[in-house]
Amino acid sequence: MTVGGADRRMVVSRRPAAIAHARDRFGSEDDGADVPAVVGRQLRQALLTVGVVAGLLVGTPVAALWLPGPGAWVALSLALQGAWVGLAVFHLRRAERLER
Amino acid sequence: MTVAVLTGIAFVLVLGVTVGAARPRRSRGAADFHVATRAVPPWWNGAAIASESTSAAACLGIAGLIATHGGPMVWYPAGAAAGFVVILALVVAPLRRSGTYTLPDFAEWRLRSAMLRRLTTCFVLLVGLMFLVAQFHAAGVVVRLLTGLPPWLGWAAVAGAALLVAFAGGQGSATSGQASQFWLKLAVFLGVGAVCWWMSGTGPPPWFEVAYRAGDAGLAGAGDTSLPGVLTVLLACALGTMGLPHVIVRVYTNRDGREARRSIVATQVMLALFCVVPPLYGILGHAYASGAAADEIVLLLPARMLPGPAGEVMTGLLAAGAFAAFLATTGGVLVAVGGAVSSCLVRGGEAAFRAAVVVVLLGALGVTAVTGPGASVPLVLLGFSLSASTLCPLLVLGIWWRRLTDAGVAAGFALGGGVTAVLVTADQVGVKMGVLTAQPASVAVPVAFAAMIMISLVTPGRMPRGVGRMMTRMHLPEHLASPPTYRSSTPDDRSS
Amino acid sequence: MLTTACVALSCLAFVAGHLLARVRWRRDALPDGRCKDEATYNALHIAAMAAPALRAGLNRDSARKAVRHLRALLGTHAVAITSTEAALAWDGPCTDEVLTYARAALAAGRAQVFAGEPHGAVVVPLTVDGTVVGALAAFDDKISAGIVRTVTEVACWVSGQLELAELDASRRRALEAEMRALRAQISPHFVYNALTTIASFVRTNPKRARELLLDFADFSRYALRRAHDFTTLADELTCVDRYLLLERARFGDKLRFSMQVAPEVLPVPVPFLCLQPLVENAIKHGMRGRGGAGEVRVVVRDAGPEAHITVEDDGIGMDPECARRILDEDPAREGSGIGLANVDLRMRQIYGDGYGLVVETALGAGTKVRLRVPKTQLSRL
Repeated sequence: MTVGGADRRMVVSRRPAAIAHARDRFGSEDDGADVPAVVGRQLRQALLTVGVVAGLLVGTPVAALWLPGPGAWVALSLALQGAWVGLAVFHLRRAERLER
Repeated sequence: MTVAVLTGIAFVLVLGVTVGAARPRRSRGAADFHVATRAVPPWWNGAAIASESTSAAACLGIAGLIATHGGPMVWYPAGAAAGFVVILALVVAPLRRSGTYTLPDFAEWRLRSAMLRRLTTCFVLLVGLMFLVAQFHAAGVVVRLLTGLPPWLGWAAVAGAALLVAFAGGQGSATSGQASQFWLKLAVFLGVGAVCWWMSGTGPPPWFEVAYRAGDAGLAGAGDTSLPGVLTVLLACALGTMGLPHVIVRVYTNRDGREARRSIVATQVMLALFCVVPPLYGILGHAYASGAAADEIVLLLPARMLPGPAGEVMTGLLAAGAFAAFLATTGGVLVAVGGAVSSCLVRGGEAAFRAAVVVVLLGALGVTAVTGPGASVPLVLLGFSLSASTLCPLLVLGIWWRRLTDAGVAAGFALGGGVTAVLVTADQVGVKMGVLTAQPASVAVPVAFAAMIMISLVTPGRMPRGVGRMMTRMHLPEHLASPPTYRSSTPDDRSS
Repeated sequence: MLTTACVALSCLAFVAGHLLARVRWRRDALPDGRCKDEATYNALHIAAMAAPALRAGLNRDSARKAVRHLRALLGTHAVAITSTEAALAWDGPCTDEVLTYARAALAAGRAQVFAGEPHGAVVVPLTVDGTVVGALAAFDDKISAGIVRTVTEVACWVSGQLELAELDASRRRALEAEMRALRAQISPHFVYNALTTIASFVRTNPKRARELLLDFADFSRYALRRAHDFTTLADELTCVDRYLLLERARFGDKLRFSMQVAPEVLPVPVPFLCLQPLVENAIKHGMRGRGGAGEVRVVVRDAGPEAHITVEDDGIGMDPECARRILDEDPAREGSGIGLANVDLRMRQIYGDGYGLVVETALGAGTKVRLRVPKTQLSRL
């Protein structure tokens, strides 16, 4: 880790002095983009995705009531994983398109 | 005992892999500069997130629950994975763009309140402790079961290794370490599972009970086989994932919001791969290892199916995979919680970070010693519930709702955390009120959201200054939110 | 069912508690009885509500926010605020003549009273540093001497707030200017040396010379930009790499360099040009007297909530006293240690006194400079 002679070094730093802290950063950034509209679009997309998640998450265990056999349950739970992946990819593409 | 030796060897092996992978990349010439300073690609970060969130405690525990409690438990892994879709939709990109590293940072920045920072740190610490304790307990079970040694040796091994990783982790790439552990874990669990499946001939009859029925539930509703019970656990998992400190911290590793989103999608894919594991072991365990305790079924399975050295080798491999998982989750949680605590107590300093890590670890060990073993899955679920009823409303409302105020968040924290605490205590004392006490999340989550919204609405004067700027920062892509930044061109870009 | 009841009850309880608390507070603050106190309190309270808007300077937005409170304060029929060109905001039924009146008052530079139908008006100019920037106009049925006096006083107070706003802005501009001035600049020696080195390659190895010239262009484009005070660690490291390519062209293989970077911290925002001066310093001081031979090592570590950066050389080192003198130096002065002191001061200004440079050195033992950067820096966000 150390280069030759490192153990003889002394630690030095600036003497404590009253230094004004740079408070509040400079100026506010006002840019032309319509933020509420962007937030609204993104929020709608996000709520759509979350709604689908909620529907699947509640719907699948309930739907399983009418499905006999453990094989169907396991298959359904694995299919749900596939559905999450599909939903994630779908949301990613939509969200990126909304930002463009 | 051969298994003991194998376990030891495997453990050391895993540790070696961990430390080896975490060695820093060093560049000497101009040529490998771009290799040395290459950002973490989303795939790697996704694997690291998956590695930290597929805690072996939960994995072994859920497989055991499927074997002992039957069909209704197969939905648990789906709930845990759904949490990442929710993160992707609601949280990840805005959080990365906010530029805050931990949840307390986010709370302080978004609501301009140092008090909230401390409150958030408390909840992050609590959630983190639950995850740590769950890992320690599971490690204790593995050590006791496979070697006959006292369980505290398992705790000590995981704690010591995690401490080393946390202290030395800064030296190099913790991400690649975590990611490679994920692949190791996946290979081991799937490999051993496949061999067991193959050994069982044409496949055992996948028989277990597939009906919802009222059953006795553990802490935080773990193992509740009634339909409302299962649904509440799913809700807690789906909403609670976003508050897990080790997941949130990883978002910062990505360069911008876009890559952070891609990381989460990658996590989703890898979780989907990993989620084959619990039902596989659950079904096999039900057929071949019935009678064992839920936590132990997975570990006993290979020896029961393949008596002799082959079974011992596979048990050793499973133990190694489990320890890799313990280590990954423990290390991730420890670094995240230590970072949050140290930056809250004393501003900065490596000494503060290390002290915080040690204190958190000692606290977790203390709680582990006090609580009984076998509490892994319930503890993890309680962590999810607490996170869903405190940190989740903070994140969701903080990101999407301009009018959130610090008073509202404080009220939501108090009610969400308070309701959870009261219901869990009531349940432990023996006051049973059905789903209500067994599943604190079913009440605490809506109460926390409602309280945050109502109190924010009646305290409009406390809205922080500059909310508009914060919203702009969080929701506009980086290239729109700030003037174009200069980026150095790489040698390949140049026209020659 | 039970859940819904629980939610509703707890929300009700909270709202009720909160309202109760507010009512109690109001009563404490306003003991019933003496009206004089109440009037003073009311006036001051309204003024305090208008102040924050005015402290943002005079524009349409701030005027709109303030004018409601000013009307409440004056108790007139209508109040308007104008700039020198246009009516910015008004509250209450306002006549169209407001701009005409305002122009007259602006031209006169003092309070003007206009009698009109249905309302009369008082218009008082607002001044900042002796310059008229706008006017405050009050309209009422009957303009009494009392109203004129009150409006004049309120206008005076508004002017005071606007002056404070100007003061805020200029203080901010001064800070900004100071930061700009403190920004490290490329040292003229380096430019000279780099160009000489490139020149030496032009005949013997034109391809190399061209590459180096492009590197130099890249480096200077980065180092001379003016837009931002912050950059990412990744970009800063790229800048260091460009710089080193040029130095290595000059010193050849004698100058060894190694870099260790934890990729997790590459996206961390860091002050612009906080690293390159340290490397330049290491080469300049470490290699001096050794013909450019030596090793410079840059290590970037991930330390939880912070990134830790060290720049180390195995050169001749220096007397600790000397290092301390260099750090204490005023960075605005031209001198040999400009890099270190400059970075140190900027780090302290941005992150606080705990984040200054730490130098470990001794004669003949090389030098190591340590730098800590917090990942989240709240004041910057």
